[in-house]
Amino acid sequence: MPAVPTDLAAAETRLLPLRNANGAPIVAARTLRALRVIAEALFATARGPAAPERLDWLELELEDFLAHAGARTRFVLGLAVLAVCVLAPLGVLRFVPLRRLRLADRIHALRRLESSKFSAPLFAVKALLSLLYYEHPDAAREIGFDGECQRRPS
Amino acid sequence: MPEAALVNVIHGRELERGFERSCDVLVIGSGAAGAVIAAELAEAGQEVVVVEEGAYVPAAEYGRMRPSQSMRHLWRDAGLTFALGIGNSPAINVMMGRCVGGSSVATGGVCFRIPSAVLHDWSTRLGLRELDERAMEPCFSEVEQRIHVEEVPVEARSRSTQLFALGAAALDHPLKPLRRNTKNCNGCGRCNFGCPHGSKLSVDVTYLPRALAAGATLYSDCAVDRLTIDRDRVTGATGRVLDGPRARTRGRFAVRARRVVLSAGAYASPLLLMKSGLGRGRSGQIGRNLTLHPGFRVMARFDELVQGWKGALQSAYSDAFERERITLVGLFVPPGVLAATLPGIAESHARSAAGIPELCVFGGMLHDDAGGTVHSVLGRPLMTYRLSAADRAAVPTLMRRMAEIWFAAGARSVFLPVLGLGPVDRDRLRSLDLEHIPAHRLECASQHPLGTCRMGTSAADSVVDPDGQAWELRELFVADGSILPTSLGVNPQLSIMSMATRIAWKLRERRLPD
Repeated sequence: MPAVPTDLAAAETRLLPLRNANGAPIVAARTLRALRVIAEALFATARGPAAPERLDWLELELEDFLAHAGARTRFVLGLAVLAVCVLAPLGVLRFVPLRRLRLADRIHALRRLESSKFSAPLFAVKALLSLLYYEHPDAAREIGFDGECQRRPS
Repeated sequence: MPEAALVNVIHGRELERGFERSCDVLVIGSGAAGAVIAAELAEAGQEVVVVEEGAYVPAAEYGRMRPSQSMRHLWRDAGLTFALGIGNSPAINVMMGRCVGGSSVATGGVCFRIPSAVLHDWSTRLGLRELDERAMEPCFSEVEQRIHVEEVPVEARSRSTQLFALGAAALDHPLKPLRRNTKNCNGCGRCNFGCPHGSKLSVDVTYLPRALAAGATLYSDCAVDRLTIDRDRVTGATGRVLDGPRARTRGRFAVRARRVVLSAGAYASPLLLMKSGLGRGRSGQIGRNLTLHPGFRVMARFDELVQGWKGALQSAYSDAFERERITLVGLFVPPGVLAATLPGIAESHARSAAGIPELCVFGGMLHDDAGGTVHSVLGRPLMTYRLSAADRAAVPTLMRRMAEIWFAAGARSVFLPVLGLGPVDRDRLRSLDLEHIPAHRLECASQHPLGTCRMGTSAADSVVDPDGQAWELRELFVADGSILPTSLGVNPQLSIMSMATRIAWKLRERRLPD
């Protein structure tokens, strides 16, 4: 039997560059940056933003996940991210992109957006971020999930 | 039954170039139906080629994946396919397998026979006389034996399901045990991401090994673009060999076949027919009549440690509300997915997420009318879905019924499938105007797309005849969830496999054309 397709290992080892045929990244760097900005606020605690290493891991996972999700899904998600980045600051009367806001202001802006009638894009983004973020072993432990029997032993 | 690896799958992503070949029967799709067709016909001595758009991921590999990795490698669009809601209908997340084994790898393994009332409707009102209970019995029995359908024991239930059962019993709607295709299940609660222990007997470890042992050839990573047609008869198919999940093309392939069986599912099958030029000026039914069993999950928080992921993912159900078009089915979802639905940002979100071990989940789905369509837009599929008035009216009923059951079990609060709505206690439930919640705030999902190439007795209102042959094209058969004439109201895996068995048995007896 041939070896397991190498892309299966990508999420763990990142051996494969996620680039399309003409060498460009499949997932736009600006989308990943914007998702990280939202994640910093979404997963912040009283101690501050989530650990940078965990956000680095999340960013890699996001790139791999979205590369598999197909062009249409990436396009729709890109629109949702753009909407969040534009609407959230407007909701707190700040006329700058979300990334320019300090963490506390960003959290405030996202809270306001979540309780508004324009919250749908935020829910989509939050769903994707949460799905991946809580798979990090440390994040999973923080919410009491051991998941021991859920994975086949290597 | 030992876990079987498909040692002789031909991985399209490892081929240097495309290929050409010929065979007796080309099966398009290797999911629940395609695998049955392939095994039955190969064992009957026919030369069978199966082409599958998705990758082959051995059970030993998908068993090691995290849920999101399974979504990336086993599910279409990484699990993010949506049906656009029309009118007062929500957008619906439709999850479908896209791998060798298809959705059978990515389901909870729940097995229901086609309900008696549904078969009665098909065999009387729709005139499909062969689809009565007596005629279908051997098909059901055959599949149940092949994939080891067994009742989930009460002791395998998760605490989440136990609590729902307590509430349901208190309201005089006792739950019934589900049946699943499992053997030696240890209840780790993640069947729909690929069983990590080889206990779920999906077709990649049952029917497909049989097919290959009998001489069938299976190509993974091969997407069919068009059927090839000679006058009124199908003669094969052409397509692309894909270079892994990013779907770049390595080369093209062409398979000449004396007969073609289309088993690509209710999403891809109608699209392929449309791309091949069928459906124009005829009944206009291709792609229409899509049913989804729109599903809603209602969560509840208890004052105890639940850890709902410990126990069988799906173990019990209730048909007590069938008259209201509602079936309740047990499930659990990964903590990350649960966290995604919890309200809050930063600390408030972290507090909600920290309570996940106290959360219970149960699902409810609608026995829906045919409100959807698969369209071909520039050769790409697009699903739209409109809930009928009766289905739309059932949504608040479903939420209220399930919330009442959770409260009867002692829940502190419930989380309804309404985006942005926080926890709801008993008093607030009474005052909520559930009937007027806008559709775009409803959180809705489906794993059961059906009906887009429905079976019927006339070319005027169906796509295939009672034997599964397309009205428009000789020797083209469709065998998958798309041929089911109406919604079932229950999980369709066993129904699809049984219908495929019936078609396969007919094909075994039918002379292959020259």
